[in-house]
Amino acid sequence: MASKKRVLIFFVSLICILYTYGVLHGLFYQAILDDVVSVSLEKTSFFDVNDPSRTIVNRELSQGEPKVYKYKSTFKSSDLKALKLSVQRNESIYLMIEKPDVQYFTVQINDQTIGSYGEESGHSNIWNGTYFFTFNENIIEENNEITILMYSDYMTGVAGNIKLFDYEHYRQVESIINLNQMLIDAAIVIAFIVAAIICLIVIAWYKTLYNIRVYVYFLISIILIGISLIDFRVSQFISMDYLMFKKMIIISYHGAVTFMTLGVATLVNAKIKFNIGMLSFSVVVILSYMTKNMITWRDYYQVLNVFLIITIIQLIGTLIYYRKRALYSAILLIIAFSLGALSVGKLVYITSTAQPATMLIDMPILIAMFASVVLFVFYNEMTQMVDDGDMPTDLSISLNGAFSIDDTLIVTGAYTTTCDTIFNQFIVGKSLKDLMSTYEDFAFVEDILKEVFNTKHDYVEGFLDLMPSEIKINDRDYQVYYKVYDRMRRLLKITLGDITKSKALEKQINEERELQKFFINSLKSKQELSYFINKTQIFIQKLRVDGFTLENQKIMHTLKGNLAQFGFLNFEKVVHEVESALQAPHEPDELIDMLELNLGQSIDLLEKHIGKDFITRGYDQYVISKDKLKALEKSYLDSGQVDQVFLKNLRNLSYIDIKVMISRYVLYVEEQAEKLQKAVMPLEILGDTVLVQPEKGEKLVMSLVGIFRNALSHGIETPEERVSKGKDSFGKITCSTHVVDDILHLSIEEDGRGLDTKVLLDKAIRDGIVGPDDNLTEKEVLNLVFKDKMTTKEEADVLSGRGVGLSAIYDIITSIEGTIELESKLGKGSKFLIKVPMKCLID
Amino acid sequence: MATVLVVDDSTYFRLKLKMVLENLGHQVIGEAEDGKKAAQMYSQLNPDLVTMDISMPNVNGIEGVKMIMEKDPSAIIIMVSAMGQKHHVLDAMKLGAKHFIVKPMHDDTVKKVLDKVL
Repeated sequence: MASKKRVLIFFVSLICILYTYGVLHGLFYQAILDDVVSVSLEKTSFFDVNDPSRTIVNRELSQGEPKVYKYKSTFKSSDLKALKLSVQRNESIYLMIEKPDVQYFTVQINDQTIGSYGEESGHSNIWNGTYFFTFNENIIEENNEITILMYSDYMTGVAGNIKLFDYEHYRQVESIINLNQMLIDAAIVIAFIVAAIICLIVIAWYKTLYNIRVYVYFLISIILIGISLIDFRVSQFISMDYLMFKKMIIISYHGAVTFMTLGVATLVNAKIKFNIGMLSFSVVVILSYMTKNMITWRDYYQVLNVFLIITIIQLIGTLIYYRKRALYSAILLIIAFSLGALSVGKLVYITSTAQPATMLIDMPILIAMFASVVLFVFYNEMTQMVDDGDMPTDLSISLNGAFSIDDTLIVTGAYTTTCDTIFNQFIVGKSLKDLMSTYEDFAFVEDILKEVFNTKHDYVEGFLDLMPSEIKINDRDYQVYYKVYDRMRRLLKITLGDITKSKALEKQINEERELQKFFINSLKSKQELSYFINKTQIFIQKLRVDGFTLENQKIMHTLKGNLAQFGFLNFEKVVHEVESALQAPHEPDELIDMLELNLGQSIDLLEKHIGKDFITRGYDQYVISKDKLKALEKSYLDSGQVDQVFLKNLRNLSYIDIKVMISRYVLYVEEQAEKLQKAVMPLEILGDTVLVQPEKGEKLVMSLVGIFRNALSHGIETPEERVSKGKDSFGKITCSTHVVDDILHLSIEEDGRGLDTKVLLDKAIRDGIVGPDDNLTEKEVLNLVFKDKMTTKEEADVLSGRGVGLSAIYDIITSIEGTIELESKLGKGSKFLIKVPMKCLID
Repeated sequence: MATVLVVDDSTYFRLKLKMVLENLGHQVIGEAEDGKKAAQMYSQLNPDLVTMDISMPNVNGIEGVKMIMEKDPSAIIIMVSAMGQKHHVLDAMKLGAKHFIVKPMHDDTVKKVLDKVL
């Protein structure tokens, strides 16, 4: 990008300098002309010798008129007073005739021929020049006669001025007029040099230029412009029939415009069915072949110019229609061409009216500007396929590459050489399919690309956004950008930006965040965590002995949920894998090893970061103090002076509020809801403070995980579904605890979709859990969910379980002499009510 | 500012999209809950832009695109899709839809797409 900017700055400065030079030169020229001392001979004083009603003022000849004219005028020696002439009467006097509309003319003063220009045969091109004739002052008499004899095919007379100068001022004027001629020569040379450069570009990069026809059209266009400029070069050396010469010039004009139109239309891949440029060009060619007469030919000019204008209008129309394709290049080319056309148009104006030659100055300047813009456009077109400027700047330090493919999905044209490194092979001529061989859904990509390359679609951004935005190549990650170039044919530029590092960093940050969460949770619930790890370790040993019995599967499932609460996410995944593996033939020992290894890794991690003795044996630390408490209690009881209130308080020291234990689910609910893309308000825990013996309470609290999991995955609907049902988009889960008659009532309620008893019953009948003729009450049907293998969701995932979730709770609750019931209303929500005698939760 | 017809079966998403579009300075002149209704409303309202959900009951978004494109081949339709509906989006765009937005949508992603198509 930077280099392109530098080149743009170069070309802009070049154009500015050129134009400034043109303006200054024009001012300088005007200043000198104003300063020059001269004597004007009025054109109206020259009379046609055959028809005195006509003067030398230029006019067009009509058909059949004679081609040779003689004009006469007189001046007195006293008229020359303004000139610096010597007393010795041997000074040279200079006669200037500006723009005679002739092919040949000769001048006489007092019957003495003082010079002639052009060819009598008409094979010369002098009509645009300024001519000087020298004569000695000694031929001047009191009264003098000046005669101008002219030969012309189609005009006669003089367009500019007729003036007399002395030597000193003649030198000033002549040098400036020579400079003008030189500048016109320079313009022609510039046009041909640019043509040569374009030719060189085409030869050098023949294989990698993706719009070679555009270059060729412009090459032809600029050569033709160069040829058309010859019209304005004063030359007696190009010996050509004047009619032929004029035909050549007009063909060049039209050819230049036609090929320019073709070039721009090809550049933007515009399918022009009817090219007016080509039509007008053929009309010009046919007419120039047929016309034998200068005057008829001149009459065609107007019509041909109309064709020229229509061609330019078609070009502009094409650009407006295809405004999004190669807009930048096309507009620049149009500007460039306008500059070129402006200069040519101005010349036509100057030469058809008798404007002073001052105005000629900016023609070469304009041509040079035209040429520099064309070169910049070509540079831009050539480089845009190989720059990776589409890449955000923060990626620019890593390995980026850009290449293009055509509609056959084959890498074509120029590409950055870094691509070879990225793909570890030379990519030119390779198919995108080979390059993207690691991408799993290439058929879809192919499907999209078919549409992208269909030029019927002018707007392809939508298709491009469907393409993969990230891709892995040789174990590195790349961000991919796509851009369509509508040139001679449609091309797709693919830019790759290496994001391996930032992606790894992002992954690392995420992992660290997870880890932090894990540590914070661990520190917050150190005792519970220790307890569970311990329990899991014991369980794994139990698995080794008993294998994966249904009971063990239930325990494992509950443990999975419990450890997930603490952020043992890996373990959760591994258990899930194990559960999946259990569905198929498996090697139990391997699965158990997997569990043990993973748990071990998590413990290592904890110990490494939080401390060696972080994992105690569950509540042992606490039990020790309990022993002391027991001893204290015993000694107190032994003392014989027992105060019941004190004894109760003493015992309460070791108890925990069950609400505090349940509060660990607040975070769990939040996290799992996020995972399932559901919106849930923070878990609310209401009710009485209920002090329980921690180990006994833990069993109950631990079993609740299945209920929360169910509430989130089956109960609460997606936000869209909730809104369409007229519910608040946020679901609500409430947990409350009360003690009634020494029985703990623990309820978990959610306002989700509720259970459909019909579906439940159907499934139960299908699975053979109940008979088709058992007349169950609604409550009984609902409570079928606690049976083994009941789940209403077909696909199992990490959260929703495989039908062991609720039956596991049921087993645990019954093991602590509790009961569990489900109430549910379709569309309104569900409520689990657990009742456990307090005596089972305390000593 | 463009006039927009929002097509989605979910009231919630219609509301949300309406808010997003109005925040961006556009005017929602109609809402439809399936493709057929969308095509009818398109003829009546002649909006500058249509946002079309893909999965809808009765007549889905892809059918909706077909019906609208038959009436007006220059219609600007943006598909609103869920994750993993890329294949459906492609089908809709083959039929003439211009672009797509993936749910859940954000102001800036919607703006980006609208800037491209308008």
